[in-house]
Amino acid sequence: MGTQQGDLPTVTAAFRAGDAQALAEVYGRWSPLVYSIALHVLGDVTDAEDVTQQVFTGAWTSRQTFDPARGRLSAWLVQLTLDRVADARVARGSQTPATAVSTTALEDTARAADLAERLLLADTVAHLDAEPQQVLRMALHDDLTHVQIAERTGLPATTVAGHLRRGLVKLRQRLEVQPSAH
Amino acid sequence: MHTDPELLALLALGEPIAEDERQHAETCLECAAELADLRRVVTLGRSVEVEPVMASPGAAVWASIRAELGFGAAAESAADPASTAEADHELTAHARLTPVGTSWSHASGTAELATDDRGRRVLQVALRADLPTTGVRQAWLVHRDDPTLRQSLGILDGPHGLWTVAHSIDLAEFAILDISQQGTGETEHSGQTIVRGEFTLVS
Repeated sequence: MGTQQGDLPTVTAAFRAGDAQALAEVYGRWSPLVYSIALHVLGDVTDAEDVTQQVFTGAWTSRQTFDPARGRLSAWLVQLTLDRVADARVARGSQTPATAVSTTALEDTARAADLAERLLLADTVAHLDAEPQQVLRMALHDDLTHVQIAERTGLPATTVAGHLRRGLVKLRQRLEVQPSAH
Repeated sequence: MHTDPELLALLALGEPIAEDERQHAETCLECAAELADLRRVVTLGRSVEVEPVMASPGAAVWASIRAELGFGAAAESAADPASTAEADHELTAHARLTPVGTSWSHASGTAELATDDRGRRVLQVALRADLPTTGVRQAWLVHRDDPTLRQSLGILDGPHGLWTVAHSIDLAEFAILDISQQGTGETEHSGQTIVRGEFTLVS
């Protein structure tokens, strides 16, 4: 699970250039994230599969609008997913009285974006190699220090610190935390 | 001199570091900005108390996308690219394993079936779950139409399993891979499935 081929610059470039095999790789890497976001928000397998299909066919037909200078392919796909999920909810909730829609729609949008961020985080952690993945989980969820993690895993403390550093940087890149202005 | 990047990461995680290093990290604009970024990641990471469960769309979705976009055989493999890296092994099927019940809702796994250079079908399973210290984990191939029909593959060694699969077993029928929690010595499926998934054949 350690590879990130669906996110490699070569794959992204081939995807933009219209290489069908690149779409297959992008789909292989990112369809679980797209599908999981849709499934968690919509709560329906068929709707989630429809959204997944719409996202990837939409990504293909509008691939020229993806600008790697402005963000990662994953972030672009997540935004496409949130758009299609919102469409699906509107289609589904068309019977709801119009007055009730505006506030809940805003809340739903915020909740979906929050869920997408958590799923993106889970996806990124799950795609780290086994050792850094375990170390990062221990630091984030078990609140262990790097020395405690070193004791429990038998890894040198410097190795643990390196895993933590690279893991956090990877999460930051994937979550596209903008560097603070300075 | 700027604070060592690894110390910044540890500081962001809330670990104590040397006072002079800490002071620099919080007063130097460049280090403080990086520290703030890393802290936000840590906060977000820790706010996710229960990691949401990832799932995969059915194989029919990719087929529909290909059909809708008019792709031919050129883009056949949507398989996890990681699995194709195996030297001398040709990937023939794969499955993403997802939890069935609530008691294992954090579990996940992958299964990859490849043909080795001697023509044997080699099945490799990786399970990610908080494994209990009691009992064993057993892998099964389950018939897609009749779940009472099962073939046992064997016992996982920790989170890993590696077996050969006889060619007499038709994976188009026995298409479901199931990993169960078993009492030691138990010969029948315990009914406690940890994860399961359907094989997608790589054509």
